[in-house]
Amino acid sequence: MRRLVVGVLLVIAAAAAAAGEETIELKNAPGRELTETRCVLCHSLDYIQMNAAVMDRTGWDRSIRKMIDRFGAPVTLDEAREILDYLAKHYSAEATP
Amino acid sequence: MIARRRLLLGSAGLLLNTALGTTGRACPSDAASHATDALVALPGKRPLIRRTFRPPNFETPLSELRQPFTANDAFFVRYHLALIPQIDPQAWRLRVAGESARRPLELSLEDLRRDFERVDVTAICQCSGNRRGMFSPRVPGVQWGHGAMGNARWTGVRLRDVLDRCGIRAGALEVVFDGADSALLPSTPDYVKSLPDERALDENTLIAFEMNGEPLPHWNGAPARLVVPGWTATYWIKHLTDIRIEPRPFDGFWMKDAYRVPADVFPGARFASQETSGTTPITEILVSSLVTSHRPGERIERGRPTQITGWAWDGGSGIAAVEISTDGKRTWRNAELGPHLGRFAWRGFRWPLDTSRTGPIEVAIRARSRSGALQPDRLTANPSGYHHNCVQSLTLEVV
Repeated sequence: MRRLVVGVLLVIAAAAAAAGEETIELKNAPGRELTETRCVLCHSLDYIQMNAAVMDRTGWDRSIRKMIDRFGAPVTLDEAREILDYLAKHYSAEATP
Repeated sequence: MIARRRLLLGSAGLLLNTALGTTGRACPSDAASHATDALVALPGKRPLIRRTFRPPNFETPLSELRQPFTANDAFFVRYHLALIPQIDPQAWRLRVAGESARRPLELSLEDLRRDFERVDVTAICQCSGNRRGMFSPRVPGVQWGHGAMGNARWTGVRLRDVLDRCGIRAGALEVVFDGADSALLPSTPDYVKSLPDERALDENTLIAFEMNGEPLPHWNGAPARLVVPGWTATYWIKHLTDIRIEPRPFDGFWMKDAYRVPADVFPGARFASQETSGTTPITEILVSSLVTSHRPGERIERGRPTQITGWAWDGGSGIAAVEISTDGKRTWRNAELGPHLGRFAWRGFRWPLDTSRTGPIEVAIRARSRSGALQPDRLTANPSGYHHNCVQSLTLEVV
């Protein structure tokens, strides 16, 4: 097993940190469900909201590539395209409301 | 492809510097922003400013940065990876090994406490990206305000003493550190960092198990973490479990591709074995300061006696002076400095404010370190938004 087991009383506490993230909702538009299900595999959705004001289409493209190429996100090319369209449209500095 | 991208990033950094003068844009005056930041309490913490839930990134509100030692339950929380185990301190073991290790060790917390000299160092823990949210131009990443930092007394043992017990072979180049936290996906690189041999052997580098006299809080790395005074917190590996002494540069993602700045742009210690032609790892904390007594836009009653107070710090040479301006940076005076808490700690300053006339007061503060560094007026642009240490200005209103 890749991860080291530290002591017999090891308890994964990730759930404690996640409490509260269930209140986060992305904008209801085509692409939302795919974006949510792929992204929450690793992190809460507030990362998207937090960066929206800083991002444009190029920025999101770079970010999605990093998630797939460097962090191993299981996202196909078609899915990446759909997620990019959604984020560029709704979570960019020039976003449509 | 990766090498070229890094070179491009490096060139872009230099281009930005040349196009905009020696550094970037003028440090923007603090707006009364972050006023609507959500305060959320993690278990064991008082309400902090939530940047992200998972992995948790929470910063300390300004009101909690006023004490000389930042309270443990107010200390900021920063993680890259979301699997954060609760570790039983009695079951915890620290492994010391690696190709350049003579006698690999496995130590318990009791071993550390009993067999090694107990050492205290008071030091600023500051995220490399502290204040990134205030960067201009803005950059992606965790949009920190002022609160991804704190001052604490760290207690533990010297890393050097543990490495000496293990024995270091000739040719050792770097020491690699890994903690028990990990990613949800096996394909995501684990958060592993390295230090140059010399920094690892510095007498101030600790394996710490206490913070301000109490056992480390869970969210700040229980039961033991690395503490590297003067260097940014990216190296301060939490939930430390593995130390490896190695004869070659560590090439994990979080060293090779993350936490890098354009080469030859920032001052401070060089991490020679990790340098490329374009980038180098971030190392030392740069001289900086923070007003904690007042918020931007705050209103003060005319005639009320009040002081501007706050902190100044750097990467370990100490603070020589804090200059304050109350006329929009036209003239500067030396503020009164508080007691010395240690060269890696912050140092307090105060200045009595003249509130005799109604109207705005444009306050600015800048710190000067003993090594001669002065906070810059302008930010140095870099792709990751590190080293935000430009002169803070804020406008107060006497009413």
